[in-house]
Amino acid sequence: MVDPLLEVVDLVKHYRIRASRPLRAVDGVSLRVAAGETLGLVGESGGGKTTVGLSVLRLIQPSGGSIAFEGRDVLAAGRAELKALRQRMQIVFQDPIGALDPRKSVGDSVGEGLRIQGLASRAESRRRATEALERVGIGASQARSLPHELSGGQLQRVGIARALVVAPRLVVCDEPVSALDVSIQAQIINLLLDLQAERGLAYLFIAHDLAVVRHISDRIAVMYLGRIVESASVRELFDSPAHPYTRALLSAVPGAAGRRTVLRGEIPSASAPPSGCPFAPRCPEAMAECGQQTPELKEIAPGRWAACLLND
Amino acid sequence: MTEPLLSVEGLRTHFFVDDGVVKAVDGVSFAVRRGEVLGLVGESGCGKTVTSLSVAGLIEAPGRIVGGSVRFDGTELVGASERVLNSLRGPRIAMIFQQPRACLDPVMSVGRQIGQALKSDTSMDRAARRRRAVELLDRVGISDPDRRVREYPHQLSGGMAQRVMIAIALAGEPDLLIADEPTTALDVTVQAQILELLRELQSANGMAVILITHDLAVVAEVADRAAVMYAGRIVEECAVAELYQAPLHPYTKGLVESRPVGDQPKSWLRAIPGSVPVPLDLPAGCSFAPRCEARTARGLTECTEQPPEPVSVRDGHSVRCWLHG
Amino acid sequence: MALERPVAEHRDAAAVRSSTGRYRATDLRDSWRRFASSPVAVVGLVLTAVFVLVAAFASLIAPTDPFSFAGSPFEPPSGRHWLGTDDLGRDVFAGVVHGARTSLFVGVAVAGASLVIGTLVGGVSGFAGGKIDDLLMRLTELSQVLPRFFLALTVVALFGPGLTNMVLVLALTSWELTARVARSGVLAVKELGYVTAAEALGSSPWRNLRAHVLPNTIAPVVALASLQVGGAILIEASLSFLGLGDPNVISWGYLLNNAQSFVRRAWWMSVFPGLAIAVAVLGVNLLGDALNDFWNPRSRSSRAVG
Repeated sequence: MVDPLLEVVDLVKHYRIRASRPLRAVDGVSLRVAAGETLGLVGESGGGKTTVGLSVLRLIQPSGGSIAFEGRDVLAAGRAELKALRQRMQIVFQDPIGALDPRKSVGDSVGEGLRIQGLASRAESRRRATEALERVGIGASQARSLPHELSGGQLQRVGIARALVVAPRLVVCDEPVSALDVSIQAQIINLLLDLQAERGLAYLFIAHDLAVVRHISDRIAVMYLGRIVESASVRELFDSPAHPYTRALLSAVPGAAGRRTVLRGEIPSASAPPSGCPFAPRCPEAMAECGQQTPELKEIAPGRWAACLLND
Repeated sequence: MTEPLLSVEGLRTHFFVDDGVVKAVDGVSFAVRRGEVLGLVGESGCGKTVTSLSVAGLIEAPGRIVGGSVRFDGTELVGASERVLNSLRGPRIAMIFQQPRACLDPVMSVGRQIGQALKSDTSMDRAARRRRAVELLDRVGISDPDRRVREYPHQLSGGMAQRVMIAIALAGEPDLLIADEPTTALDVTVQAQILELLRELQSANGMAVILITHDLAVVAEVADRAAVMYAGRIVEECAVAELYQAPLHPYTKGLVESRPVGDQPKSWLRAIPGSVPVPLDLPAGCSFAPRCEARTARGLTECTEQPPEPVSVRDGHSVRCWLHG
Repeated sequence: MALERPVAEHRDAAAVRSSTGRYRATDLRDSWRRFASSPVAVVGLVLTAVFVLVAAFASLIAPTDPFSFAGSPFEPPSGRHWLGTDDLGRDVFAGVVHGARTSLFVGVAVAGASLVIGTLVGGVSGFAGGKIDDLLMRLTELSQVLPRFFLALTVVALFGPGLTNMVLVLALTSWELTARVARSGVLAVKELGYVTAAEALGSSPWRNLRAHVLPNTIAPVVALASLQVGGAILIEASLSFLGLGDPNVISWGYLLNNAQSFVRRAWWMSVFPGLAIAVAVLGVNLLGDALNDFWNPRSRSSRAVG
């Protein structure tokens, strides 16, 4: 297999809140993204998806594990190397309004990356920012607008232009459409697909909406309480989900066909995870040993991984 | 045919802001029969929440109901006194919202908050109210209600808080429940729980529900009929099955088709071009016209000149569109 | 039943109003219209403008030296001496007009120092966090518990009366509130998406602070600092009134101190300087309040809806 573009191994992020036990937001996550590929990362809130995304760019400092991008160690990078790495990977955020400085024109916000990275002069960066904005469907006349003058969908386009203007190879998309209106989501998904085809971008696509993730991803990893419980190609995951949590997620989607499995309870707090399999207390298929033994993520078929004792 | 429980006729609610008049709701008519679930679907700013607040008489300045009528079980609510409204809200019309925790008083125990909703029934003393609160918590699927009744909102998870809100709403055994995006802030597995609970309570108590949501799939799941709103008007109203199978309005079609479904990963989605209009300066004619591809394909000229009126295409299916006019 | 009003669609109304402006020129005009729509703001602005103009053109408005003898003692207000003369025959009008300079200087110097020190301490404290934050906040608390007035009294008593000493003491004791506001602003802004986005583009923390965080937090800090102008003027006047002001500099407090023994005999000696203080402090406070309201995000959103 070719070296992946991004390889995360055993990533751990603990938050220490007062004297209590550490909150294990991410608890041993491993994943790979190949060049030009989309890996979908799904799960409910509190599952640790965003923490993984921010860690990849080292926007938060993980507590353990390793992250390699293009073969280079992200967590050991010095200041200059990290800056160079951040030109090659970028991020698009969920809240398109909060992600833009309210006092700067959207053109300036898009051009900012070129200036920070020293890739272009002021005039040149302005020209390239306008180009990037036009590529995502924001006309040159709107480059001088302030964020509050644009709609949510337009702002998310600006956010995408800002990430793309420095020509990254990997873009972490953190719930990029979940704050948008339904009629606008499809526009943004189409745009992301086009840009990927055009530039061979790789996406780490974080979302809670299974339909969206299914549409845009090549492979999907499902997270529950800081761990990956299943990862597989889109087709395999949807056709024959191997983990009970994945099955529950799929059947919980409103309008899903078939008999619904309604899970009991809610995702527990990461500061007091249950012993054994973290999903066991809600699992409709839990066995006696699930409460004692924590299942490892194992390859159950070529390219298919699941962390569940049922598959042993 | 008996009179519907709630009938809204030509409702218009406008907001008078510095820059002009925001016609948040501009001629909305619909009816809800007893025991029926009506899904009110639309995107942000379409006026669905303002519609529900107007029904409950909760519009405050700078907003005002400028026209139309809201009849609830024979009583006209537009222009009704605060006393009349108060006697209806709670016992007859109850509401739940998107952010359940923001609607609960953080310094009052769950039991007391439910008890407050029961106070209108003077036959109950404190102990009886407490017993009833425990019953209601049990009814909405909260385990260990004897303990939970003493807890405070911060001890509840999001799904649990929404269950408590539902318990409070049920306290007066209302005839109509208005649920405004009740599951939007919840995770998908919890959303499934709450939707199931709502459906079950609705059929058991025979109450009518107006379910407000942006999610077509939620409507498909729970509602009997659906009304799709766009820019302050209902553009299509039909039975839920027809919403997916035979949508008539180009906007409804666009909404249905723009959702990624099934088996074609990484293909282009059918997107609706443009963005949701700002209800301050709406286009003359049909508000959807600037985004409507069906209009351009057919070369219709009326669309940009005159707003279409609702047309009943077949029994129980009406649409506001020149294509069907 | 909890009938709390959801705000979602009201925010749309707010979005409506902001989405109509397209260019920054209209934005400026909008801001001005919004500011000028409050009577408090207009009154504050006019009074402050009068105060500043009088101070700026003092020698033109009252060419007489306020320390020179311009007539006989205790002349009541008349055509020649509009506000009368004092016990030594000095023109009270000249005193009041020239005194504006001193008050303005003290007020602006103290507010400026409060702005600079407060922003620096609060900004660094909030942005750096951790131990630095703890240290700077303890320092701020220390400054908070110092009794300003008595500290000023002590310094003047120890080092002799002088305007510089007084301004220094007031400046060093008036940045606590601005520092707190700057810190909370920075704490809120630094978590926002655009700061993270800039960091993801390789921006250094210092650049982030300068380019994104401070510009987005400074407005309420300026408003708060402007509220301190009035306080500083009052303290200066009080000290001078007690005879602890600079005897070589004319100021309203000095005039009042001088008027103490003649309240019954020459009411104009105390009334006019007193009035000047009241009007000037009222003006700058109203303006500061108006700025505070204007920039306060909470009052802004309510205004956008209402």
